[in-house]
Amino acid sequence: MTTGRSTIKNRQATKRWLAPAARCAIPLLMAGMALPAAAHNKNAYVANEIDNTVSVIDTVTNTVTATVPVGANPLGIAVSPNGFGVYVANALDNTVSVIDAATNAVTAMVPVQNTPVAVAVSPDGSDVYVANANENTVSVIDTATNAVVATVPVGSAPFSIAVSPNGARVYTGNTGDNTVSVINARTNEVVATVPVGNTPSGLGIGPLGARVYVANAGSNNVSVIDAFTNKVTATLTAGNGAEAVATSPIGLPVYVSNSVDNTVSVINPLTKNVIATVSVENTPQSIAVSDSTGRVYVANAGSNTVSVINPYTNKVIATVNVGSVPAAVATQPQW
Amino acid sequence: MFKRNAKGNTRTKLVTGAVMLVLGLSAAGTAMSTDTFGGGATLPAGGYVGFNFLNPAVKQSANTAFPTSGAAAVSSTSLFGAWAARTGNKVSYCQTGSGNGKKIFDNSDGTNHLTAIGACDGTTIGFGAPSSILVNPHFAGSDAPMSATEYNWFDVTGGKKTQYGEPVQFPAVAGSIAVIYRKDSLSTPLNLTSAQVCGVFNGSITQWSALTGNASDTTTIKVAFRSDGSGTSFSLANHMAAACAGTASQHFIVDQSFATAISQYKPTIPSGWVGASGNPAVVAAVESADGTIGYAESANLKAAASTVPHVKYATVGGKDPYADFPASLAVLVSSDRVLSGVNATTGRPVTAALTPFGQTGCMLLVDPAGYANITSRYPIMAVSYLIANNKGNTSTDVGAVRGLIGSAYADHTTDGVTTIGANTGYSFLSSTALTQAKVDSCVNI
Repeated sequence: MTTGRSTIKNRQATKRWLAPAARCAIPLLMAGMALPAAAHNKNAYVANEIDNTVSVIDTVTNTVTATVPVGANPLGIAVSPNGFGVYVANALDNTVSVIDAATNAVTAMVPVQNTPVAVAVSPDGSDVYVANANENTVSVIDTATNAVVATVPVGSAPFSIAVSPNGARVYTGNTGDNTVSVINARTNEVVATVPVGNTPSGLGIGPLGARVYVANAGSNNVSVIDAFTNKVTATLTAGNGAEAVATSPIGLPVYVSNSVDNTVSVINPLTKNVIATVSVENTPQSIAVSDSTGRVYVANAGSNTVSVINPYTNKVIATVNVGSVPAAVATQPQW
Repeated sequence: MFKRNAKGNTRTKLVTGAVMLVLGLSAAGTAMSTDTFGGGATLPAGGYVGFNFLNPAVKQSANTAFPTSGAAAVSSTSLFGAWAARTGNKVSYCQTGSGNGKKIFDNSDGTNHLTAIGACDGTTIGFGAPSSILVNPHFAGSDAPMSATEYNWFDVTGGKKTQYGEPVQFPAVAGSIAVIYRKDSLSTPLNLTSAQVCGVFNGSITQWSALTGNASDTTTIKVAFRSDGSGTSFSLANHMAAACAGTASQHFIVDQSFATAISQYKPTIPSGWVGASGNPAVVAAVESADGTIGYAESANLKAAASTVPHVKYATVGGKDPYADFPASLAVLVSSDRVLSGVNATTGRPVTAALTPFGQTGCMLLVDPAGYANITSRYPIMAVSYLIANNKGNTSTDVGAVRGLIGSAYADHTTDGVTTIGANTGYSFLSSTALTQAKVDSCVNI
């Protein structure tokens, strides 16, 4: 029989035991998640900034199976929760391309405001949110009509956007004033503005929506926002140029792409410890995690590739050649 | 005995300690106070060093030990001045214009060997740097990004590659370009559409009546333009080519030469138009003749307004070049790309991949198409760059060079910069790629 008391010695021993146990438990938990098979393919989508295309990667074979022409300078990409629609923010022609995931055909081009750079889809798939960096706004697109139904003023130069898992909140990372705007998705009004680190470039939200992670490229760290209080409760040290952040399907670990170091930091947000630092290729700008496999997809803008990281080993298991300057990557939600 | 000698006695320890302290302080002092020398673009100069260079008019602004006289003071609330105050380093900025600045930085104009060590007179003679500088030069400023030709001068004719690696380029600030005029009979400020701006500068609008709505005013519009190659002309043309599409055979051409920019409309500059070299000369040309329209860097115009009382500026599309030019604006940044020319049917800039002969990812370019015609704010603007050496910055200077180049990306809510931001005509730039860490990775010993 053991007691709840512990000495320094056995706490250290416990620590030694917990760390590897946690590392084992995380993938097991991920593997154990029951994921409904709603969508109809197993693709990842990569927006290629210079050649104005989207590369479609079959994540089973890690090969590009299609290349879809979109608008000018695509910088943001998101897949609808049902997997049917892919939305691409085209920064130079101020549009969002809508791709039918079944046919890889562009079915609509939705005009938004100046310099759309990031896009996210609501959990019910009814709304698409677009961050317009040069207008300091978010365009809300009704996916039923592909029409903009609201425009929400946010902070200065929003370069990233994310929606909470329950769809109640939309967050933008504003690089011009180093804040995160919190939008009430029901009223389309900003309800909080949260000061974060320098140059908040990427946003990630855990599966429960309790924590919002903000990758600060200018301060090389991640601000952790408590979604209930809208306050920063922790700061996680990352690599140089922490530009994008994503969580695993169970909420931990957190993956951060470091565009200056050419690495991905794998961080346990509970202990704030960096579990691993994974070398990828040049200028990793965007990161996405497959809900189904937990694999991490990293768009390397400087080498025209996507690195695929095995979450169990934290090793790169594939490098996929894509188009010119892959700026954003998204995966099919579940399959 | 051996043991005692190795450790030393008390006196030896004290002397050694004192010497080490002096050496340490000396080393720290060196590291904390580097004189940095650079120059180039005139457009951002007021934002970088303040406007003390206007009166008396001088090309060099400096708080460095050299020169001992003749340079304007660097304002402590300017970008570089605030950086200098924060870090203890010093800076000298010589206004040569963008093209000359890049030539001095390259140590070459394609034919002749140039150097920063030489008088700062606005030409390619030098940046006013002393012969003792360790890095030649530390940096340059340019309103137009380096072309592939300028990039290659650094190596082929400048001979800098071995010591300095390659040029590294970072977009730093933006500046609005004002449409300026003198029309003494006009009592209300002029508000122009982009189409009217295009019409004036392509010569299709020739009478004031087309601008004022006063049909009886058939006075001829006189146009003042930059006769030298400039980022200001480039930026005006960048807006006009985007806002006024023209045809495949007749459109604006985005170029640093105003004559080239309008060449498909006016193969020769119309008689009566006035060419002037440099921003102040264009402003002076407008001041000197009623009925003249020109274009000028907004921030410099504002600082010099008292000397040109008849010169006004127009709003464009109802937007003011100061009030409607934000404190920070978003830019689309690409790595290792250069401007490669213009589209033959639109005249708009085309970018191409650059194969760096040095470190990849350190030649950053803002695509001019991304800021050519944003009508929700004042739409005519330029992006200005800072350029440094990829390596060879020496262990004593590298920290200062990194800090100077990265000063544009610092947290400006706390550093007291007032020359850039709301209502100045200058904006800071915002992008996920523009960080001090990126600068640090590209500027090395």
